Amino acid sequence: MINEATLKESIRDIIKNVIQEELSGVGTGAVKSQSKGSTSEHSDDNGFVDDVTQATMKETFYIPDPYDREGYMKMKEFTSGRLGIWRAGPRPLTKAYLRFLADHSAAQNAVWSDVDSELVKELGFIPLTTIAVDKAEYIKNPNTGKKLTDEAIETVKKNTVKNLNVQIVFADGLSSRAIEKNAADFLPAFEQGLKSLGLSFSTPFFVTNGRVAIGDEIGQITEADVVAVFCGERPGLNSTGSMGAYITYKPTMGMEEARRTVISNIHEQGTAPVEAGAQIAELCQTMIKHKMSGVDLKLI
Amino acid sequence: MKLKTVLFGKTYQFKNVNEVQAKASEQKSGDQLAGLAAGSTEERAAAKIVLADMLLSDLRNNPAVPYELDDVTRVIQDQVNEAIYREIKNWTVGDLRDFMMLYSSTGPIIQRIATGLTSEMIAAVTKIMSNMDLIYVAKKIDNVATCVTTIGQRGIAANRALPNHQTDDIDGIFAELYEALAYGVGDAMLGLNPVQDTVESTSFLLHKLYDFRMKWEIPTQNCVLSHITTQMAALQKGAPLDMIFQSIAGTQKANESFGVTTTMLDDAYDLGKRECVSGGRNIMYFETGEGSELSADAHLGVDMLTLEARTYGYARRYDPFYVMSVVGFIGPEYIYDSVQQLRAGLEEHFMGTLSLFPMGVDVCYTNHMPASQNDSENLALLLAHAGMPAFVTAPMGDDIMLNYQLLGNHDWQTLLELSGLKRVPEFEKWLQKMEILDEYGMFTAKAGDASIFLK
Repeated sequence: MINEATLKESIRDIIKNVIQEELSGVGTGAVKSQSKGSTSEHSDDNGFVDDVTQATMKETFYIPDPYDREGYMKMKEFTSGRLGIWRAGPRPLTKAYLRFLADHSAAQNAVWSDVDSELVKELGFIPLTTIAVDKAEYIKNPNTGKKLTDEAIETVKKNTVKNLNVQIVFADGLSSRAIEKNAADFLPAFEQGLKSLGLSFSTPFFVTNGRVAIGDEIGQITEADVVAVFCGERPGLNSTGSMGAYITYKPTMGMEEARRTVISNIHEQGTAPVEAGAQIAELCQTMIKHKMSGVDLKLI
Repeated sequence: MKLKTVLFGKTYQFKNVNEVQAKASEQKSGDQLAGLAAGSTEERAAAKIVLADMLLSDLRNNPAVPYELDDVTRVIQDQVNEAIYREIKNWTVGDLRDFMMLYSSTGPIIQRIATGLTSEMIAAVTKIMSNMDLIYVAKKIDNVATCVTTIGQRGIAANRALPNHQTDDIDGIFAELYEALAYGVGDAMLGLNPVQDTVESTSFLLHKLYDFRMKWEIPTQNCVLSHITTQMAALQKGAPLDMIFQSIAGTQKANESFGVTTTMLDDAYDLGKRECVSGGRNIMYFETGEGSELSADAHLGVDMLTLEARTYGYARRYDPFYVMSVVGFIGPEYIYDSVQQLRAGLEEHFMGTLSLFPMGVDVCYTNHMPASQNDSENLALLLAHAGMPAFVTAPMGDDIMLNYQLLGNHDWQTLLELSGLKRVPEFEKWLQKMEILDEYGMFTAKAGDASIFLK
């Protein structure tokens, strides 16, 4: 078998190199240090252990002696994946492992928060609620996020605009942060796009504890041609605020999922909200022209 | 057929086979959500006892969804080897379990019997097996399949590189691929889930992946996981596909919700056999997940495990290269926590193995599930021990597009070392040629440095 001693020694060397590089400041700044000139490996001048969330994944690079450092850093610009993070034996380095734990904790929290009610007011959304009594029931029983309360149904009826082309709906879905981060940029671009194509739309609804299918119930009431639901996607480690768009021609409650056209990953690092706005406006126009959406639309 | 029993002086009466199956299932949030789960652990035990006493013919004659109403049922029933079925139809489910445990029941002998089973029988026997039972039987069986390379042989475990990207950016995709290969990952496939589901984009990505495979002479296979109709259109326009992918489920109605019919799959299979550039015997690849039927409101009162078994029975029609269940991906409303995830992973690997194709499990969880990377590592070790032939990993386990966590690229080499398993031999040789692995299959000093692909 392999010479264990040699392997251990080479790993020890590698780790030594990593530590030395960081200490001497020759490294590429894997973990950004807030303390200039400090050589302490444990803390900065204020007595703080370094904030591991300071560096983005694109800046994070731990390989001591790569074949092509410049090429690697360029390559990393194209993805937020955890690349170039090196290893100790076959295992991740301590700092890469702990960064992962920190990010996972943040992602879990994004699920359980609510959209700031001030923002809902500011954007002029009409607020609606589903029959889910709280977040916990909403997570365990998704059906509760697909049905409006009686009061909400009345609100929708009161705000229905007849012969509407596009009904806009926002819902928190699985990330309230997604709405908080993207709605304000996305909405003007989308509305501008619809206007330039001559399509009518009305004031958006915002649904708390709402899933994608909540748009079906709203669509049945308002009878708009197309219902466009913008919903928080379940958070990832790097993107706790990713929004998905689910666009359907004449949706009905209980319809097949294949009737939805989906554009996911709307956020700054994915499809930029402004760009998505224009793209989805055109999509609405196509659906109205062909009177269909989802898989059917693709088969044309 | 007996549908009742007494336990500690209390009578447990069940209405029909579906109720027995559902209540005999291990606890899962999805069955509770559907209102099908046992109300107490004692009721669960009673249902298992009734199920164990059922004849295989009872299960054959009472499929979970009627033959006339559902083409998944028709596919499963029509592919049963009747000669084998006649041999075993008077066995109870308990007899089947005991038979599989025998020293004399070797892999080939169990594979022969499996041709006479329906998916409902496979689901039933799974419910009266412990975790170690599931591992013990699955480990006996080697289901081998060939696309460009061959997976499923004894002692070999393959792994899929998952280079997903939020915008399908080709430079980002290749950065992730280089990283995977630098960690010795990619012999099951280089398999990309695209964001844009268009023929143009799918064709472009397939060409890029194919050119890459050819340029570096990598002994593996590629897949771009867009909708099957998109892949077929790309294939007809001359895109180089090694295999054809589709997500499938355990009822006709659920498949329809995916935009899929049996005729469509048959057409794809025929087209693939004529046009796939891999030239392999096994050119279909399916992904599945417990809860997808319920999520599509198409479970028809059947429990998740039975539906998952039916999905595998349906997949078997197309002799897939392999099938992968995304065990913790569908969400906590179906598989709630790490306890349920671990159990489901072992059940799925076992049931897929008994369905006679290489079965993989994407060991994973979402961020709204009470689970962590530790739980995934535990399950991965158990599945490696069970002889699971196909895994999937991403850089530090982070899928930046689908927003969930699976095993990490680092975990792959670790898992192979701990379990004494080897990569697909041609792929291991290629990694040695690239100086990523040494002659013993251990990492060299270069392993983990993706910039070697920038030559």
